[in-house]
Amino acid sequence: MSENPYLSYDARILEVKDLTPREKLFTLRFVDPEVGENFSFKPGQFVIVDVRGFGEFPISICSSPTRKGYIQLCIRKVGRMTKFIHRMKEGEIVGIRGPYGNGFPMERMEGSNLVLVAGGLGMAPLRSVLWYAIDSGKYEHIWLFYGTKAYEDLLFRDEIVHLLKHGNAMNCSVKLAYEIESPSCIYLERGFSDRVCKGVVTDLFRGEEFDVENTYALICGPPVMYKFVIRELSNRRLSPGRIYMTLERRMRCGIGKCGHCIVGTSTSIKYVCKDGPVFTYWDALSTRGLI
Amino acid sequence: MAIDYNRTMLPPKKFFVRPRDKMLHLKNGKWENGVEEESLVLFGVHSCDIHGLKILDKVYLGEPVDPYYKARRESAFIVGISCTPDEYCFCRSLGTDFAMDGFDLFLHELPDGWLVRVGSVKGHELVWENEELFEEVTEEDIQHFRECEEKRAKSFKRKLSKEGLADMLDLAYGSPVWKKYADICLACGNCNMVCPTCRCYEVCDKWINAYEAVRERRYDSCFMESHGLVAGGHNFRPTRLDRFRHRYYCKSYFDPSAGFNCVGCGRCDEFCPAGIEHVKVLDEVRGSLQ
Amino acid sequence: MMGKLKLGVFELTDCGGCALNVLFLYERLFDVLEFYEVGEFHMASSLHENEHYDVSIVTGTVSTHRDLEVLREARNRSNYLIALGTCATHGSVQGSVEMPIREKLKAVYGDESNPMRAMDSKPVVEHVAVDLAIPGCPYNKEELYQALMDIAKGIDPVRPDYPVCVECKLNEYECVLIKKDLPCLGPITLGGCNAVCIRSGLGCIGCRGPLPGEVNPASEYEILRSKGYDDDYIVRKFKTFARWEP
Repeated sequence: MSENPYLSYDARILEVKDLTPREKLFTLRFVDPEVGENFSFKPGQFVIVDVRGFGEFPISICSSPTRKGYIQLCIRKVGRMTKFIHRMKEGEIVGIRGPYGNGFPMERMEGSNLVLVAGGLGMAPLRSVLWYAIDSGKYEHIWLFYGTKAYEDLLFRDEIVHLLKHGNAMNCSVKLAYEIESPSCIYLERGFSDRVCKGVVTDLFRGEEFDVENTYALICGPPVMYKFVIRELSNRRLSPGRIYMTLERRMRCGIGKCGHCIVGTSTSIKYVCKDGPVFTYWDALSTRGLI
Repeated sequence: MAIDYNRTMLPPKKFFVRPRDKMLHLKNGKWENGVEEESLVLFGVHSCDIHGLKILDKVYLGEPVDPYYKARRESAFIVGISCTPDEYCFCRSLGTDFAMDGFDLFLHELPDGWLVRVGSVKGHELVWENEELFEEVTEEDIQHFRECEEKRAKSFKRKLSKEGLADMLDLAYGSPVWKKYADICLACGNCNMVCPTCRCYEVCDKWINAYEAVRERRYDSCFMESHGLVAGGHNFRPTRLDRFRHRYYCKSYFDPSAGFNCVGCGRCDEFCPAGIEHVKVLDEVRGSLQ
Repeated sequence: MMGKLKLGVFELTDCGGCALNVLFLYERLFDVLEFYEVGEFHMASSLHENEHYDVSIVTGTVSTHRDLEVLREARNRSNYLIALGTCATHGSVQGSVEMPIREKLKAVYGDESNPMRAMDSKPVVEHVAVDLAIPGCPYNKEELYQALMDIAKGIDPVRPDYPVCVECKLNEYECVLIKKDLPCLGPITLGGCNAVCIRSGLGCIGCRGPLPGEVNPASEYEILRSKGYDDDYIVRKFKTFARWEP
C-alpha cells in the first residue's frame, strides 16, 4: 500500500456489456484480492478510472456495495478517454483509484420512503442506491421515476423492465417517461399505461403523493433537470434537507487539490469532489451556481 | 544579491508545486512513484509569500496528503526577509504583512544589522550551531525595529477594505462592474499563474518514447474556457464574465483558520496586460452596491 | 499488436520548413517509426506509392491547381488527415496578401499570364475537412510527436486551448509586453509552442492563430495602442498569419 493517493490499483475487466448504442457496462474486479477486500464504498461515491499512459476520468459506481467481489461502471462514449475505453475488451487491465466523494447518507434514510428521480445517464449512480435499498430491505417504499429521450436510451433495460412488471413484490414502483416514441415503448405503454407515458420525467409526478415526513428524494440527471424536479418536490412540501442531488463537475484529481470542481461564491466555496458529489437542496440554496 | 526586491514573477509555490511537475512515470505498464526528497533553502521570502504557503498547506496537506508537496515542504528551510511596499502591495489590508509563523528564520533589516526571529525548531538549531554569528538583542534594536515597522505600515499606497468582503461580494453577484471589467479582461491567465495561492492544475499524460509515458501536471487557470467544461459539452462557466467573477469569489473566500485566499502581494496587478487592479475592482463592486 | 500504420507526408506551397521539421525529430523518429511506415515523403525518400494511407500529413497552402489535386488525392486516400503548420491551418503569410491573383501577378511580373495555374492562396482547411490541425510557423515538434503517438495507440490527440501567456509563465520568461513594451500577441494567441519567441526576447507574432472560443482582440488592440503603436501597424500584425481582423 503506497502513500501516494495518485497511484491507482489494477483492476481487470470481467465483462463488457452493451446497454445502448453509446453506453457500456463494465464489470471490474481488482487484481490484488486484498485491495478488493479493503475496497468498500457507499452508493453515490465515484472512482477515477486511470488508463495508463492516456489519462484519467471520474465515473460513479453503479453497482451496489451489497454485491461483493466486483464493481460496475456505466460509461458513455462522449469524449476522448471514454471513446478509448469503449474499445477495451474483457481481460484487459485498467487502474482504479477511489472511492471518492461523500456518497448518499444511506443510514440516515433507513426506515423511510425513497423517491429516486433519474434522467438519462443519471440512472447510473441511482442504480447503486436502488439495489442497495432492495437488497438491504431497510427501507419502506421505493419509487423510481426514470425519464429518457427514447426507449432505446433506457439504461439497464432488463432490470428496469423487470422491476416495472414485478416490482411490487420488492416494495418498488417504477415509472418511465420518454420523449420520442418508438414501437417497443408503445407496447410497454399499452401494458402498463399507468406507469409509462410520453413526456419528461416531471410528468411522472402527476397524481403521486408522498408522506413528506418520512420520505427522501434522490435526484440525478443532466444539469437542466434539477430545477424542474425540485419544483415538483417542493410543491409537495418536501423539505430541502430531504432532497439529495448528486452533481458532476470537471475533475482531475478527485481529492480536492486541482480546483476544477470548485463551485460557489465567496461565502460558500465548495469542492464537488470532496464536499460532494451528493448535496442537499439546502446546500444548493446557499451555494450559488450549484444547480 | 538583490535583497531589496519588491516581488518575483513566480511565487515560492513554484518550488513546492512545480509549474511542470512529473507525477508518475509509466514503465512496462506499471506506474513508478516519482516522489523525490530534495533539500531546499529558500532565502529572502517576503511575509506575504509565507502566508501564501500557509494557505497552500491547507489544501495540499489536507487529507489525502499530496506526497510531492509534503516531501518538498518538509525538507525546505525558509528564511524570510523584511521588505518595503511598492505601489502594488496591499498586504497590510489583509493582515499578511507580518508573518507570525510558517518560516524557520525571519530577518528584519535594521539600520545597523539584522534582527532575526526564530520560527521553528530547525531555525533554532541552526542559530544554536552558529552562535558566534549572532549578538544579543538590545533595547535600541527593538526600538529601531518598532520604528521601521511603523514607517513601513504607513507607506502602503493601496488599501483594501476587507470588512464583510465575502458577504458583500456574494450580494453583488449581479453588479455591472463585473461586466465592465470582464470586457477589458483578455482571459490570458497571467494573474492565476503568478498568484501565490492559486492552485488549479491540469494533468496530462505525455509519451517520452515509444512505450514509456509520464503523467505531468501543470498550472491551470480558471480563465481558460475548458476549466468548467465536462464531457458531453456542458460548460458550467461558459462566458468570460462567469470566469472573471469566479476568480474574485475564489480569492475572497474567508476561512477562519487561514484568512482570505488572497495575500495582497500585488503580482496580479503587476502582470496583468490589461491593467486590471484587484483592489480597484473590489472597491468598485462595493461602491456599486450602495 | 497491430501492424504499422502507413504514413504519407505531402507538401503543397510552403517554405519547406514544416516537412523538414518532421525530420528534425531526430532520434524520436525511431519511436515514430515503431508504429508508422512511411509511404510517401518527398523530402525524405523517393518512394512514390499511390495507395491507401492510414495517416497523412499535409503542409502548405493551396496556391496552384496542382496543389489542389495533390490535396484531393491525399484526402481521398487517407483515413486520418493532419493539417500541419500555419500555412495549412490559417493561410499564413501568402494567404494574407489581399489581392486577387491576377493583380498580384501583374504587380510582380508585369503581366497577368498564369502558366503555373496559380490561385488565391487558401489554407488546406478551407478546401477539405481535416481530422487534426496543428498550427504554428513552425509548429512545435513535441506537439506533432505526441499527436502521432496518440493516433498510433488509438486515441484522439489532445488539443491545447490555452494562450501563450500560460506557457510563458510556466517557463518563467520575462513578460515582454509589460516589461519591455514590445508588441506581443501572446494573450490572444493559441499556446502549445512553448513560447519560443518570447524566450528569444521577441513579442509573440501570433503565428498559431487566435484562441478558439471566446477571445478579446479589442482589448489587445487597446493595450498595444496605449503603448504607442499606431493603428496600421497593429492591424497588419494581427493579419499576418491568421488573417485576422481585430
